[in-house]
Amino acid sequence: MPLDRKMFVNKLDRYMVQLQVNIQDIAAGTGISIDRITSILTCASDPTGDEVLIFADYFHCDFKFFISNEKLAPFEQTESLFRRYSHNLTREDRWAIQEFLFLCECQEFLLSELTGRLKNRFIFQKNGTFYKGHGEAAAEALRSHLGYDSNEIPKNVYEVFSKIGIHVFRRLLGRSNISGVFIRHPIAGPCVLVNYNEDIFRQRFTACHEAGHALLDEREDFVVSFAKWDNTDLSEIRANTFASRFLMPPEVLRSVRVDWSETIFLDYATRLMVNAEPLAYALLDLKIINKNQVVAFKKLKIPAKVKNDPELPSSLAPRIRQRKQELLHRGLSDAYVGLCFDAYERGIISASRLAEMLLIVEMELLDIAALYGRHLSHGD
Amino acid sequence: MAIDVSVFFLSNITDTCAIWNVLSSRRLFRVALSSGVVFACTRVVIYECLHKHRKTVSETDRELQARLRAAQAAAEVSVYPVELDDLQAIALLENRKRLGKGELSTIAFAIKTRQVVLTDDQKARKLAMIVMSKAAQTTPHLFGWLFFGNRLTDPDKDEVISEHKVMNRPLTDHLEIAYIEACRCRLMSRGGENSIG
Repeated sequence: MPLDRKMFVNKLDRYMVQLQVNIQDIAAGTGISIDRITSILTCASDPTGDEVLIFADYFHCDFKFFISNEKLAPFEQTESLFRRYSHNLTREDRWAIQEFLFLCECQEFLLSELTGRLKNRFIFQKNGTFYKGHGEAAAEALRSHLGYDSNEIPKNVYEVFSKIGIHVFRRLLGRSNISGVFIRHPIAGPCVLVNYNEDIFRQRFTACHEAGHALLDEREDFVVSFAKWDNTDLSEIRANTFASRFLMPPEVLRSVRVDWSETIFLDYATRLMVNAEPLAYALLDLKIINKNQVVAFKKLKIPAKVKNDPELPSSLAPRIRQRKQELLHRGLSDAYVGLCFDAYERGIISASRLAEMLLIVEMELLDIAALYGRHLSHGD
Repeated sequence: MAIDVSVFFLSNITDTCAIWNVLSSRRLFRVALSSGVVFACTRVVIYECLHKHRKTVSETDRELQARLRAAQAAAEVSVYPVELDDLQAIALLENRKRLGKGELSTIAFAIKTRQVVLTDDQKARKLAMIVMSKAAQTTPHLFGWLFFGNRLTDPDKDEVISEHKVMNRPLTDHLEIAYIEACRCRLMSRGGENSIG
């Protein structure tokens, strides 16, 4: 298969624009000389196989994407996303999104290799044009699909969405006004990024909100949700309703037979693992409380000590906790790291590929293996 | 996987993991070179070793990187480019999500030049065997072969292992096993040796 030089250069050029890097940046990050990169970008010479692999590694994409016409990377999606939100996304945010999409692609590959074809995928068919109704019906249908009791509260929403084919990663974004991002990846399918900068309860709600976009905005390639959202945007209202109904089913809220005091309100917010504002509006929506109560309740603060990250229990030793938090900041959850090591132990991937999937270099592998109590098989 | 310490292919295309293991012991590296062992790697491996971004760089990383730069400058580790056509072998494309990019380029170059891959990752070795006919070699295999041919002597064993450990490399147990295997084979063959260049 001969290289389409113009196509290759076009992709490289557009990645440089998307991720706001110049020739000097690439030379510093890859060891390929400025002259050589210039020569490739001006079509004066073809890239070697090494250079294609190095560029692919640098930009976190499948090397086959650079040398074929196949849609192997969410290239158009990120290009449109970065262009539309050019003022809201810093260069660091763009790289964070690019890394997140790489993790989604790896997770999709590993899950398909380890567990085979996903059997529990959930697809929701919308009826009518009532957006809020779509959100309510989708939440109810998903709860039913998952076999939940009417009063059952999802504990680990990240695991739940992974089971139905949505890749959810939490990672730190530079700009705290972005709550989450949904992107439809041509290979991995729906992918949700939650800003780790937000508190644990908010992250949980954002994951559900973005999953709502994934399930209900099937024509959209991407959606970015901001902390201050447009409450006239029907799509946002629908995703919020989905998240609210999925986390706070009406059966549970209506089951409270006593008057809603501040104490009861805070107790329920803690048990449901949601912040005061979404719970107050969920209760108002069901006409359980009035507008005056909403004003009072939504100002209440859930104590920070009850908002524990399930991945960072207080039982962890301080050093381990700090190290795991650093990994979480880059999107490396226990579930994902575990999946990568499972694949390595079963001979599906090599140690070098394991390192790539964990966004580290080979030398850092031993440290992470020790942190997670895993073992690397070296040569005899 | 059992190793035959009496046989070792001299020309090796080395992946990222193995290059650090070989360089971790100055004694091992020097004796290997003086015994005619040739180390080559691809530019992707050099990128992974020297240029790829890492969050933290330890003292041992710096030391090994300095040794690699010196070895490269002295032509003790040769660096070769991989052509795009070499990467387009169907078996490589099919396994591109299972192997690291350094390994993909190493295997592609080894297939093209009919040489042997030096890798210390068991999983990589098994995956490499899917796409190439020749079995890969390992650093402990090299270590055992050098003992078998009396190029390394008993006092060298502790020195090599000690240097390897100081660099935080993971092959201590495997080096011990290879040493014992070399002693056993040497006793059995009464000093016979073989190499394939």
